This record gives sequence, C-alpha cells and structure tokens, in this order.
Amino acid sequence: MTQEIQPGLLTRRNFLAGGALALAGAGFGAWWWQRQIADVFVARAASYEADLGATLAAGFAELGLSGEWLKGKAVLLKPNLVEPSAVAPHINTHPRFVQAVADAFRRAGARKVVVAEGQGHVRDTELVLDLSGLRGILDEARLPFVDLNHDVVTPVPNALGLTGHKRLYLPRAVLEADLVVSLPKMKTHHWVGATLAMKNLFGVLPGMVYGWPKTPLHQAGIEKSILDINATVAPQLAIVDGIVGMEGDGPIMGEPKGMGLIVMGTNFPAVDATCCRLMGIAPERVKYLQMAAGRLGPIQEHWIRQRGESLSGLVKPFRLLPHWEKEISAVASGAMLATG
Amino acid sequence: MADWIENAAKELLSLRGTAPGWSFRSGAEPFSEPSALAILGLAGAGRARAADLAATGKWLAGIQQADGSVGLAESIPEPTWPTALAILAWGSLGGFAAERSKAAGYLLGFAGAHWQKPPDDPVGHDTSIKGWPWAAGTHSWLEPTALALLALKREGHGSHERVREGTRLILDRALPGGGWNYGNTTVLGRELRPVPGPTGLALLALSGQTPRTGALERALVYLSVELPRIRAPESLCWALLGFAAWTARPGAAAGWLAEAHARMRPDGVRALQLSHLLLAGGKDALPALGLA
Repeated sequence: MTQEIQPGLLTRRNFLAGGALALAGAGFGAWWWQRQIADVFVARAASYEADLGATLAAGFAELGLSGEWLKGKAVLLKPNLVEPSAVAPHINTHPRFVQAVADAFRRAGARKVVVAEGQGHVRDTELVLDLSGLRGILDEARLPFVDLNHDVVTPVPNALGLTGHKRLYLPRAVLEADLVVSLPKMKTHHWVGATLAMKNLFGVLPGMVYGWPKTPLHQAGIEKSILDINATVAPQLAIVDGIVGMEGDGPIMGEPKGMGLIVMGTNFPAVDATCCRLMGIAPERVKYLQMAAGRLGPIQEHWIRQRGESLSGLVKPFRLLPHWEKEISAVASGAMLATG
Repeated sequence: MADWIENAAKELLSLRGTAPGWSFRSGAEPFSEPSALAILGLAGAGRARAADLAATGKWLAGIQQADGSVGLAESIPEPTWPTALAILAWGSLGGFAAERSKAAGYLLGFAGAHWQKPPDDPVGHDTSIKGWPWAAGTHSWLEPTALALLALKREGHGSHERVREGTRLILDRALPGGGWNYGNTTVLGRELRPVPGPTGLALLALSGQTPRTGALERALVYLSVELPRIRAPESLCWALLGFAAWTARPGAAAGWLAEAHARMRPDGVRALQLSHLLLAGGKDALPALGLA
C-alpha cells in the first residue's frame, strides 16, 4: 500500500516559520517518521517526446499524491540549470521534461505553477533560459519563471546547522510555495559523486547572497550544505530527469548517458539512493547520503518501497571519474544489482 | 535616439515608483544592485534628471556602513560586493566624493581568501593571487574582482598594488581557448567553457591596465563570434562594452539592443535588464563607468 501524505500535518510554510523549533517540537516526530519508510516510483520513458504526462500521473497515484491534495496548491518547480550550453544540453533538466511536469500539476488542479532557479555559475538568468532552451517552453506553455538569484530574500533558521550557518537566506518565491518540487538531472558530480534531488536544491539559495559559485556553502562542506538546505527548505517531491543523464565528469563536463527513466518520490534520500543504484553507484558510499540516512530519510533498500518498475534490469552503470571509481562504484563495493 | 531607449528609461523610472531605490519586486525593500545599475543605465543613456537619480544616490549613501561598505540592502548589510557598483553609480552622478573615497578605502582593505595550492590541486588557476570575493572569507572570483577594479580605477587607484594584483588575477583566470567564465579555468584537467558576460567585464576591467596580449586577442575573437547571437540583456551589455573598450562598437549593436529590449519577458527582473540595456545603449556608457 502507498503511504498517504497527510495534508496539513505540517505544511512547508509552517515548518519554515518554525524553523529549527519545528524540528525540536511536536511536529518533528511525525515529520521524522514519515521519512523512515519511503516509496520511490521508477518508470520507463523512452524519450522527451514520449507521453510523460501519463507516466507522471501514474507516479502521483503510486506515491499517494491524490488530486484532492494537489488541488489549489502553489507549486514551485526547481529544474537543474547550473550552466547553460547550447552544445551540451545534457547538463540541464530537459525543457520538455519541465513542461510535462508543469502540465501534470496543472491538470491535477494546482492553483499556480512557477519554474524557478538560482543557477550557480552564470549570473545572467536570461542567457541561461536562452541557451538551455527553457525560454521557448516558458513562452509556449505560459509558465512564469522566477530568478531565485535575484528575489527578495528572508533569513530563516537553519534547521540542521551542520555548516555553522545559523540562518539561510531563502527567496520569497520559495517561501511562498506550498510545494517545492526538485527536478534534477541524473548526473555524476566530480566533488560529491552524484548530483540528484538533494544537491539540486543548492539552486534555491540566492546567488546575490552566496555568490556565483556559492562559495560560502562549498567552503562549509558540500555534503553538510546539502543536508542543511534540504532540512531547511523542506521540499515535498522529487521528479528526476533520468531520460538522458550525464556520466563521467559531471555536473558540467560529462557525456550524455541514455537511461530512459523517470524516478519520483517524496523522500529525497530515498529517491537519490534509488537513482544511485540505477547508476551503478553504492549509495551507502556516497557521503551526503550516509549523512542523510536516519536524519532525513532512508537509503537502505529494505526501507524503500519500490513502485513501478523493478530496479533489476534497469541498472546501467555510469562511467565515474577515476577518483570516484574505487570509492562509490557498486561494482567495486560488491553491491551491484543486475545490469540491464 | 532610438524609441526603445526612451521607452526603457520610462519603464525603469516607473519601476522605482515612490521608493528611494529599485528592488527586485514591486513594493519591496530597495536593493543596492538594481539601484546602482539603474543609476548607471539612466546616466549612461542620459535619460533622467540628475535630481531624480541623486535621490537614489543619497539612499545608497544612507545605507553605506561605517567601514565604507555597501551591503545588499538596508536590512542585509552583508555581503558587501555591491560596494563597487555603488562607487560607479556615485561616480556617474558626479558627486558623493566622501562616500566614494570611503568605499574605495574599504575595497582596498578587503580581499578574497587566497592560498598556495598543493601540486595536485584539481583547479588550474593560481589560488595565491588576491582579488575580491562575493562574500567575506571566501575565494576571489572573476566578476567581483572586475567590478572592484573598475571602481578603484575610477577613483584614481589604477596604479595601486591591489589593482595591479587584481589585474594579474583576471589575466590568470583567462581560459586557454579564449574568454572568461565565473573564474575557474580548468578543473581536474578539463578546460571549462567561456561565458560572454564575465568576458566583457574582464575586458572592461583590463582596459588601460595591460597591453593587448594573446589572452585579450582570444577573448575578442570569442566575443566577435558570440555577440551577434546574444540577446540576453546583461550578457549583451557587458560583452558589447568590453568589446568596444578594446576595438570598436559593432555596427549592428543598436539593432541587437533593440531586439533584446523587444523580447524581454514580462516576468523577468526587468529593472536589472532595462538598466543593462540602457547602459549598453547609451552614448555615455564608458564615461559612466569611468573609462572615457
């Protein structure tokens, strides 16, 4: 059976308003226990021209995200647009993927759907939209876009505080959203091994406060920052663009990797751990997932209820940089699933 | 005067409303970056009464801190990277001498983290060169260093040791294939990609500081290819001005700017975009930046 999310149990805005106090208070128990067993939905999607809408609707149903619950929500979609390049479209979440997700939320009755990003390398958001191809989709689908690097910002208590930053500045658009949805690309990452739903949330922190790149967070430790940001932002859903991912020297300079998959879930460590398994990476060896396990959610297979496709047969190991091969490869750790 | 400039200036002034400065959202607290850039854009285009802009200059002076720095907004005193933009804005208004001097003093005493890297360090650039960071206590990057150089040169510090070292940093961060990005050249042995905006800013900052070396030639070749296809206001602005500082303004530039204005998205950060377009489109752009 699927785990129903209880509307109103602990809303994002209440959580953020309470910040760290919420973690220590009565709401924490429910919030924490929701993260002990997690459903992760995996579906095949042959290309960006496939019927992604039907797949996403199936994912909502499998994850217990009922139309009643989605209805009337203000949804913020956070794609990964870290750096634009017309010659390397596999760097970014595909624009057609973003459109399909936006359409799915609109069909489900969302009150408002916005796309938002605070990309980490290039200050000029309009250039990012042009070169990523997202601008055309925004125009075509009449989707609003918010530049998170340049928005009114508010400091909120850091819910975990691993980085030593007592507060994190969040853009108003993030604070105003009922649902924050991470739309990462399935990619390797040269500093942390893999960049998926959790790392993608670096891009909700505003560049005007943290810079381009966001060096105060990198200096404090990328893994610690990933946990602090996820605990503080309290996102509700991840939908991973695994149709074409990136292997090798990700997140920017790697090669395209055709996977033909969409991965969805409400628990981010579980989603990322599942993606790692599909990529031939042992999630228990990825440091940020080690740190997230038990704090923000499960990463062990027996705590993740697999929905949709079975993982076996879908695994296609991603090429890893040499310094990661021995560290996190599932083959090297003996944790390899059957490869497809 | 092109019609779009008139329209852009009117819209930009209207976006400020009755507030003392510009924000990212209507009715919200003014921020220093859009306010300083609006002054530069309107002054560069010669499209606003001096008294109108002076009000925002005074607001910037009002949020200047005791050490001379200017933060993001009155309620957000750090980071202080907008200090360089404030100097340029005040300078374009032709006043605020005391504020400019104090802000320049702050910049001269403020530096990014720097260190001798080990031989096996994964980054290609020289991490020991001192420049300017986005946030205190962190490493120096290309854009804040370029902005600081422009501001300090404007204030007569072109031969100061910090400016010479900052110039060295920018040259060190040039990509071997031409141009600049945010400030990384190679990582784990892979050369990264150039970006037009930082390339333009770097060329502006180097103007008058260095001979036309191979790195500059390669950057100009890169921009000559990229410029005709850029319609994003910020990138077009800095790429055009940087290119013009070393060669000449391309004949088609006026058309590119008009196109960029016509295709601006309604929900973009229009104050920033209009400011950049006006700065690039105005006949007094380089003087507004102190590069006449």
